[in-house]
Amino acid sequence: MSLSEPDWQLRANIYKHWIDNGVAPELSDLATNVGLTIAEIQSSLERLDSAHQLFLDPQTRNIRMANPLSAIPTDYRVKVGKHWVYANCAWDTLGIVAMVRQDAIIEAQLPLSKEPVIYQVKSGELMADDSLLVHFSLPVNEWYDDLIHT
Amino acid sequence: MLLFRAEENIEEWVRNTGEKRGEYLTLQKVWELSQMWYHNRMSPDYRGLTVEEVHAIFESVGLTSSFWKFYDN
Repeated sequence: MSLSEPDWQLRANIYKHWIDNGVAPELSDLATNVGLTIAEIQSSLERLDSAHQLFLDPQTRNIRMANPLSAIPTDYRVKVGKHWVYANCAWDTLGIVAMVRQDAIIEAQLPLSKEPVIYQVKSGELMADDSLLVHFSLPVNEWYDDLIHT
Repeated sequence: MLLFRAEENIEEWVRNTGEKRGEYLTLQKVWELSQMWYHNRMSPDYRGLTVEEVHAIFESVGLTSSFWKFYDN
């Protein structure tokens, strides 16, 4: 599905609002920000979801992910500026830092042991334990089959 | 994509969860990949990544196996 210019503008506004405020925007926030009706925004969100530019919750149709950001708490969070935001996965913690281009602190939990891990990026340099690994369970071709699982 | 302390922890996780064993990267490699993948994600001019661009990003950080490729279904 092709996206219109207003769809792309809405998408950009979602990311800006999220980083500026530390939380995903509500429909009313977006209506105020971009000057569209709630119905127009809902239609645009559906088009962005179909185009994999964000991911809506299958039941509520609220914004669930705008990669690398997660609207629900996860084991991965990033402090950028004065706000903590959640990442979808370990890769996305560094995706958030790359996206905002700021120094950041990351708090994560290892699976199974739930051991807390902290790393940071300062002046573009990753400062982390050299032993840390990120496991990609699925090949790229299967990423969009089930994005929550991925 | 989950964070692990060592390869043996990945194997333990696969055994415990039944999840697929895929490929792992160092966190430093993931930082390199992130900068290529996400650097312009907040730009008003961002218009998504084509399959060709995705493949070029993976190849630029040395990820060239079939695991890192999209295929026509």
